[in-house]
Order: sequence, then structure tokens, then C-alpha cells
Amino acid sequence: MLLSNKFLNLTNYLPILLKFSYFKEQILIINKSVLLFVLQNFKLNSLFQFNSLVCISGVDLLGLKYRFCVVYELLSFCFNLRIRLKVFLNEFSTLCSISDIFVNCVWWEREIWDLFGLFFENNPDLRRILTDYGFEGFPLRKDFPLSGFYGVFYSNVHKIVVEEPVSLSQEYRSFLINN
Amino acid sequence: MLYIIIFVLISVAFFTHAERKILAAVQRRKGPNLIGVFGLLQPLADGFKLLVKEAITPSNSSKTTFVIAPLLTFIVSLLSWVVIPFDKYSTLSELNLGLLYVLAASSLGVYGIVVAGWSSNSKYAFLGAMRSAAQMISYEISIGFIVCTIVLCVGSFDISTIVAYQKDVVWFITPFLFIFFLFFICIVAETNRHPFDLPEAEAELVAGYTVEYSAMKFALFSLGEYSNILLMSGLTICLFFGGWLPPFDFLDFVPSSVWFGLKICFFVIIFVLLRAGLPRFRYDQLMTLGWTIFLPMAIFYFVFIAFGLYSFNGLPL
Amino acid sequence: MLLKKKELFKQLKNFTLNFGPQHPAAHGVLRLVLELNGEIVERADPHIGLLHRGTEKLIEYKTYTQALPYFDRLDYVSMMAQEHTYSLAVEKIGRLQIPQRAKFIRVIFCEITRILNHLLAVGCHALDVGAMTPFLWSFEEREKLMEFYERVSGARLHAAYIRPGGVSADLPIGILDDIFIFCNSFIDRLAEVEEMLTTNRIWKERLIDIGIVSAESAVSWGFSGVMLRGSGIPWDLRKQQPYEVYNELSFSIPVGTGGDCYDRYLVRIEEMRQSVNIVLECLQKIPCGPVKSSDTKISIASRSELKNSMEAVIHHFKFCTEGFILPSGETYAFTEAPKGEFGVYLVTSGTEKPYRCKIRAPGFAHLQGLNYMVQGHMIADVVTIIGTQDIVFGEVDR
Repeated sequence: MLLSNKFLNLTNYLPILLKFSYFKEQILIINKSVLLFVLQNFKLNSLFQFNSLVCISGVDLLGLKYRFCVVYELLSFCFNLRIRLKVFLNEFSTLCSISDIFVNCVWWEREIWDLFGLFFENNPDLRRILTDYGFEGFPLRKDFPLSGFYGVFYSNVHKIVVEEPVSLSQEYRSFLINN
Repeated sequence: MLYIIIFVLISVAFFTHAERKILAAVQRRKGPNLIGVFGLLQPLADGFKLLVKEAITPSNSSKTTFVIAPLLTFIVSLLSWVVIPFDKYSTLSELNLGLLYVLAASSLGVYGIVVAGWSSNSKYAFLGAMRSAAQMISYEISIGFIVCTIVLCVGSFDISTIVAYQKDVVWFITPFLFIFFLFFICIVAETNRHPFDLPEAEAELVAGYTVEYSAMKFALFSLGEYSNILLMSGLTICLFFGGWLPPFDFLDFVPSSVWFGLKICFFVIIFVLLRAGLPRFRYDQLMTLGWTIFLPMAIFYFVFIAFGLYSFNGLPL
Repeated sequence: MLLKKKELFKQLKNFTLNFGPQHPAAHGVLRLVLELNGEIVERADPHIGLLHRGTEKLIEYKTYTQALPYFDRLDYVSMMAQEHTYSLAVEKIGRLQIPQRAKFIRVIFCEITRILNHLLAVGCHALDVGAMTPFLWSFEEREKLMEFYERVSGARLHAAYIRPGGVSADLPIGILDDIFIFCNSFIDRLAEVEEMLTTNRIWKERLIDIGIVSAESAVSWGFSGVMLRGSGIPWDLRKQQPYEVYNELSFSIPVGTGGDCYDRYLVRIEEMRQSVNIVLECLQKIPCGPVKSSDTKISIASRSELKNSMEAVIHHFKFCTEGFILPSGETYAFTEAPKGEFGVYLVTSGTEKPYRCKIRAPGFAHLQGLNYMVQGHMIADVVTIIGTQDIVFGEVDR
């Protein structure tokens, strides 16, 4: 998982970088510029026929130059195969939405936008999906604290639901047991 | 008059209890059984609760009509009870056109629903009221035709005469079995009862036109609906099952009103079992059923009986 | 200024209805904004996230064993199926072998979970459509099954029973006999529910030709499980990409032809029967033996071992304080959960906590296709279609 920055820089020169099997799983690391081309081929080429998009996940690798990784999981019913495509991005780049190829990517991309802050161009409907209306921040990023910034609760004084900054009486402790 | 009202209200209260108990029996559980023996005081507790509950009136509704609507429904549903005979001599008023009066009074019930939905000033209530009203009107036509068939055979609109006729000849259920089923289904639809209760279905419109009502006003709607059910059952009994007549002549030592009560109980059980066992109709399927299947069948049967009676010189008068 | 006649007809008749979060048929918290044209639905926009509990973020801060109970609470009507997927993911990365008896126990309880889920799905679907009795009969059967859950794990609903390494404890004495008795009487109960619904003309009118999904649409919208099989695609992960001991068991997969709600209902009923067959077959074939992996770093050793072996004590201490450490890697583990394909994409980094755990819930993909499925139908059909998709918000919102 922890691929070095130099290694990932190679994706700029070799668009489809690597194919290695891991627990009999096929993983391809591709450059984001060839994403649409690769997915189109995988869906339509009769040798592949990966016609079902199972899942799109996001991973936040804080500290690396390419901070985010978007993982596309495809399934082929004809050949009974699964394949995983990974695209590495840095914080400021955007991805192209694949809604022309796979119709069902919309909600998965909305989720990644909502929870990680990765923008997908040409997504027909990019709004928040899981967080509260008016929520600020991207929760699943590693620099977003577990307790969040704002808490919503009923205030007896104002007799209304209010939003206030989270104040923990004891600081959140994380135990790191070093071997 | 007071006796009839008291009788109806007590019946309605225990009808609610019977419904819950019978539903529970079908669903392998016990109904209310904590309050009183076998839960018999449950309706009392329910009534008391509804009395003391806070009555919320939506701020955007028109207050007068909001209050009038349940009153209208309830009063109209009690009006028709005056012509139902419980015994040979105990009809409150022996109107010559008793059946026509019942039909007219049940048509008035539509007003209460429309007023309720309109005055609630809410999308859901309005939709529910319109659907309910349309459903009631559609099935009333079929009821009208079937009632006319019976009247053709007897020759009088007076319910007591119809019952007396069944004493001499035969209960109308025997020759008119098919039309009885038609009538019964139309009654279930007319009273907005399951499986025709889409206007007040929980899953779709959350109580339909009564959604904005609470406490006593809601209780009045419920009372009106159940009283309507009992009324229609009473009508079915008088038209098809011989009213207060015992099934066999040697059983007439049992007072007639007891027979009437037993027959109403039978119908109550059937109403509740229908609710327990069947899924709901969708609104357009309901209306299709009413207009394209029941109405033609009712008209056809009416014409058929008319011609039959005419050709065999059986027409009364 | 007079409007031209054709401009007068441009008024929109769309009427937006909020099928609100608090609704008896919304199967949890679903805010569905419907655009209606009269009574026909033109567009349905589901707003989810009202039950979002931040499961994935919380899992990143817990050890692998501590993260297990989160999976129970995702799809809270079919609990052990998700625990199973997570345990498979952890075992894949840790390259653990689990004993044969544990595999059989897992399969028995997965199939019991499938029956639990389908009973609720069919019961609640019937309740939404209007038939209230099969709902109560199904829940009575669920009570009997939850009694098995309780006997084996201590909890009726959220049994953290299937763990990485096997199962948490061996089966109590007598439970297999009781499961056998249950299976034999369950067929009759299922026949009763079917008698109530399958041949009922009103039920058929409400369900046939509603929510038709063609095979290509089902594939392109990412459906899985019963939604696929109802549309005619014979795809079942237990047969195609078998895990545990499913390749040794003989069972058939019901496949529908029309892709409408009625076919999916029939598929669910038949799947319940097949699950009963699988359970009976497992009861015959289950071997004796240990139920946890012998690697004491992953599964706690027994008390007698603790009294004799120093390594066991050390492993026990490390397990209870730090948790076990998995090598860094990633995997996507999937099972045929009762609702569809439930997947766990686990990324590890060589510490005792998962680095990223992405949960692929079947309900998420199905709800996405709701807009496609309800177009042209009426409001009453929206309720039917949500029921047939078997949506449970615990897994959609996580």
C-alpha cells in the first residue's frame, strides 16, 4: 500500500503502471488522464466485459505527495472476474466523472466528494450525500478529528436545536503502543 | 332516539375492541387483555384518553369548518339508524322510503370528508379527502342499483316490508347470492374499509383526510366510520339475511333483536377478517374496479332481474 | 398583454411531495422528494445520510476486534452476514486458516441470517402494501431464529459471533437438534405465508409489472443479489465465487423472469426454502473440531492453555491490550449477503488498527436505482418498490 513517491511519479510516463496480483486479486494503478479510456475499454471490449461497477472508494494517504487514492472495483459477469483500478491524486487535482460509462457511479462519487473533498468534473449531480445539510469539512480525511468540530444538540436555554463547537472535557486520547 | 344512539355508541366502542382482538387472534398474539377482564374496558380507556388529549388545530386551517367536519360526519352516520328495524315493532320511524333515506344519508357523509380535507389546509389531507370522496361516490352508484334490484322483487322501499317479505318467501341471500357478494364488496369500499382504505392508508398518506385531527375530533371521525360500518352491515342483514328473522321457525323463542345482534356480529367478524388477510388496492385499481366491473355487473343484474320478473309476471303492484 | 394560446399550456403541473423522514413505510430514515405529475411520479430524489454514524471513520480508530461490532449494526436485520464479510477480509490479509467446523458454523448462521432477512423483507413489504398479517407471522419466526442467535452468542440481535479467526465460541449442546426441529416446522410456516400472498389477486395486481428492471439495467445500475436474480441473471456469489464451504453444498438458485416486484418476492420465498435445505445439509456434514484458528495471536487461547503455556499468556495479553497486527496490504472481501453483494475494502498499514475500511453496501446501489425504477409509476407504487429493494438504512448511511 505504501508506495513511494518516486514510484508513483512513474505513472506520469507509463499511464498504466503496474499489474500485480495480491491474494489472487488483480490491481492496476493508472494515471488519471487515461482513466476514461481504460474504463471504456474494460466495459466494452469483448475480451474484458467488465460491465458492472461494484464500488468506488477513496483512501487518504496523509503525508504522501499523492495524497488521495480513488479505487474503482469492477466485476465481469461473463468471465467471473474482478479487477481493481487505483488512481492516485494530490490534493488539488480533480478527476473526471465516469457517468457516461457507468451510470451508477454518481452516488459513489458524491460520497467521495462529500467525505474526502475530491471534485469530479462532469458529474451530473455532485452534492453532499451523507453529511448533514450545511456541514463544513470533509470527515474522512485523516486531518479531520474523530470528534469533529461542531456538535448539534438541543439547548435548554434557547429551547431550540443549536450547533456549537465541540468541547471535550477530557482530550481525546489515542494509545499508540510501540513494539 | 336516545336508546338507539346509546346502543350504537356502545356497539361502536366494542367493535373497536373486537377488531383488535380478532386481528390479534389471526396474527398469533393477544389483543388488549390488561384493562378489565379480556380487556373489555379497553374502549373505555381509549375514549378517556382521547377526551383528555390536547386538541391541536393547525394554524392555517379555517377554524369553524375544521370543527364542523367531524361533527358532520358523526351526525350523518347516526341519522340512518332511525329506519333500521331491530325487531318486528321496534323501528324508530317506519318511513315509506326508508331505503332511499339511507342512501341519501350516506351520500351526505361525503360532505363531511370533503370539508375535513379542505379545512385541514394540508397537501396530504386534501389528496386523501378527494380520493376518499371519489371512492365513496363511485361505489354508492353500484349500491343504488343493487338496492333497486331488491326493491323490484319486494315492491316497496320500506325496510320493514322487505324484512317481512323475507319471512314469507325466503331470505334473499338464496336467490341473490352473487349480488350479495357484489353488495358486500361495495359496502366495504363505501365505508373506506380495508382492502379499499387507500385514502387513509398508513403507508401512503398517513391517515389521509384525518391527518391533522387529534383527540376528540379524531375520535368523532372514528366513531362515525365504525358506526357507518355497523349501519351498512345492518342494511345488508335487512336486505339479504332476513333482518331480525330467525333462520328456522322453531327458533323463534329467541328474541328477534338477539338474532339481529348475532348477524351483526357475524358481519363484524367478516369485516375484521378482510382487514387481517388482504393487501390494499391501489387507487386506480380501486376506481377501475368500481366503474368498469361492479357498475356494469350491477346494472346487468338489475336489468336481468327486471326482465325476468316482467316475463314471469312477478313484478309487484 | 394577451398570451398566445400555446404559452398558456406551458404551466408546469409538477407537484413536489416530500415523502418525509418520518414515515411508516420509509423503512428507516429516508427523505424522498417526489416530483409528481398528477399521481404519476416523474422524478424521485432520495436524500440519505440521516442515519450516518461515521462508521468508517470510527473503525479507523479501533483495533480489528473492536471494529467488529460496527458491522453488526450496519444492516441490522441480517447481522452475521456483515461480520462474516469483515472476518473474511481480515483473514485474507492475515493469511489465516480457519478450521472446518468454524466454516460450517459460519455457513449455518449465514443461512439463518438469510432466512431472518427475507422474513423481514417479505413481511415488511406485505405490511407496506397493506397485508398486515404475514408481517406478524414472519416476526414470530424471526423470534425463534433470534433465540438461536442468543443461545450461541448471548445477544438476540447484534451477536459479535463471527470473528476473524473463526467463531467466538463453540455451539452449545442441543442447538443443532433445535435448529433441525425449527427447519422442519419452518417449511409449513412459509407455506402459510405464501398461501396468504402468492395466489392473492390483490397482491398480484399490486406487484406484477411494477418496478420492472431489465437485465441490462440491473447490471448497469450495479444491482446485486435478489435484484439481479429477479431480472433473470443467474448470479449468486455463493456459486460463482464460492467462499467457506459453499462449493461442497448442493443448493439451487431461484431466478426470476420478468424483473418485476412479484418475481423478486417469489425469489425471496424460494431462497428461504433453499436456505433451509443448506442448513439441513450442513447439520449433516458438520465435523467436530476446534472453532477458532490455532494461531493464538488472533484468537484467544482457551483457559487450560493459558495455565500451561507462557506464549499463550503473552499472546492473550497482547490481544487484549493492543490487538493483533496485520501485515500491510489491501483486499476486497465480498459475500452474498441476503440483500446483495456486501463488500469490505480493507486497507491495512502494519499496525493494530485498520488504515481504511470501506463498506460497500448493496442498499446504497439499489437506492441509487430508485429514480430509474419509479419513473412512470404512482405514489402507491413507490412504497412497493422501496419495499422490494429491501432497503435498510443502517447499511446505506453507515
